[in-house]
Amino acid sequence: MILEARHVRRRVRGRTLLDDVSLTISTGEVLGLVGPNGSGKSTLMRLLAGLVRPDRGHVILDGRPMADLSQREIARRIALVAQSAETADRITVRDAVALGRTPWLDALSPWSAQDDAEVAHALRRVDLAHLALRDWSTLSGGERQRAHIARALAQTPQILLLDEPTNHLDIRHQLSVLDLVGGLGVSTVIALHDLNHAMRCDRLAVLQDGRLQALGPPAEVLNPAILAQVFGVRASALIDPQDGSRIMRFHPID
Amino acid sequence: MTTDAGVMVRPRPGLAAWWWVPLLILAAPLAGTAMGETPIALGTVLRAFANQLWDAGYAVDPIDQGIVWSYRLPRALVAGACGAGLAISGLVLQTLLRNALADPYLLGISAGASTGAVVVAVAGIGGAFLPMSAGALLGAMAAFGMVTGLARLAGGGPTARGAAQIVLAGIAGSQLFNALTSFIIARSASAEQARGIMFWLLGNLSGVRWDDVVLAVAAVTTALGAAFWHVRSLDAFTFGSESAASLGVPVRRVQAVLILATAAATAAMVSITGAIGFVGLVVPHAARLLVGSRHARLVPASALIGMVFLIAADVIARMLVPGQTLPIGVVTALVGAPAFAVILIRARSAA
Repeated sequence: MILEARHVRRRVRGRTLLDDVSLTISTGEVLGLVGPNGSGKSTLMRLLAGLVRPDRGHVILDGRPMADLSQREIARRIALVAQSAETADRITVRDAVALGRTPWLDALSPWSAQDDAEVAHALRRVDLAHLALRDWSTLSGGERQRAHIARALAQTPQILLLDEPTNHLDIRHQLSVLDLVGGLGVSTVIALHDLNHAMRCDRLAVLQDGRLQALGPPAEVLNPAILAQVFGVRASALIDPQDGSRIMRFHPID
Repeated sequence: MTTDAGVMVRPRPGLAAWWWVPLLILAAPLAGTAMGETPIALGTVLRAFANQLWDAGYAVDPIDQGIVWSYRLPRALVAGACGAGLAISGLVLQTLLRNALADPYLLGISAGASTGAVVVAVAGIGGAFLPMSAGALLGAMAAFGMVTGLARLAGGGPTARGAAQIVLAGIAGSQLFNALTSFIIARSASAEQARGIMFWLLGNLSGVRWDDVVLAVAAVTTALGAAFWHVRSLDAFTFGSESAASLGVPVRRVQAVLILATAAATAAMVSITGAIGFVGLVVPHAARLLVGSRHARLVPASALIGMVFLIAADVIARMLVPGQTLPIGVVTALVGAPAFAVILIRARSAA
């Protein structure tokens, strides 16, 4: 399963949100999307999820242009966890996760034991099985994010799109969501704000003003030139004595 | 593994657990027929049915026979169909717009339907080709288009402020279409006509005939069928329309089909009974309290509660003031307005 954007552009009311972006998500990798606010991360996510169409270029899923696929065919392959998807409905965690089975069901093919199994499996993978019967409104922010990821996993997608899943979470839950994503073994595109978190991805795509500025392994991509040009910072690298990993400390450029 | 068992097991009652549903659908109109200012014994009602349906030849007072078959039964059936149809319409609008206050009456759809019906009935525009219900449908669609367009321009959406914008746009739409209706009546209707129409506008079941029963039942069946077919899509709107799209729901098509079906149902009901308020608003909330948020249960529950609610409201409308029948809209508003206040307050605390 390969998802590819070819020279995609998207303009809304004369404003260019994304311009000439090309990238390929290959099997099993975690691709991080970084860039300042308004750089086009969410727009690219929505294009890759098939929610909006590019007005130039193509998104290609498994060799077929996404424009030729139905919403349902896309949803069987790609699952999106959008930012701030909330509900005021009284709904159990289990029922929220069960929504992930929607693309596999219709009025003529009802809920089956296999759907039950997929939902239970998804809940176990995000470690929420014990909260399955809890009301959605009683969950913490971190638990909700995990439940959203479980809902996406219940779609049994080959590609997972996560738009800033660590937003508004406290640090412990941020780390647990990142650990979870890293261990899923599903091709994943993840938009992130924290560049040290982004270092954990297999590859990084750096967006600025709707354009792709760099694409490659994190250590190569987050070089001093890009950090200065895109983020307006310089970094000093520190080595964590505990495990020898490299972390960056950022300073504003005067 | 106990937690796993909790995950796996979903209470799924068999069909046998729903034996009381057809019974309720039969019993409610029957009760509506038997009850009234002059109660008619259930036995008499049943014998009158038998006489009518297969010439059973029971001895029933011809006046009772007439009241049961030509007056009360069609009235109860239309009330039931109307209640179910309005409740389904309200439920579908609430789900699609992610707005707890959505309802055909508040959004001005009923007002638009009234205008459309009056244009056909009084002004006689297209009267030779269009039945009143078709005029009502056109009016309902025009009103819905205008109100949602206005709400979108004003920044309406699933947020708390956006929810208010839709309701405000609905008020603007209702006022406009009510004014149009009044204008048409003032210009074109005779005094006699005007009195009749004003009474009808308040929501009124007097003078309902068997033709109306056929139209009402057809309309509610259509709306119910469309809603049932789309229960999973409706569930998928739980986290908003974008989330529904990412779950594979063809959002625009589903919205178009469901809104057309519910607007048609609303228009048919309005052309028969006038605009009856608050049923579409209050009943889905009551249903949610009883059966939760999943549409596979919510759709039938709303339809059943709406049916019983409006049949009961009609009985009350006939019995409350001796010697006089109140417009049913008065009764539903007396119940619905306080319920509306409660929903308003709860929606605020949830946002």
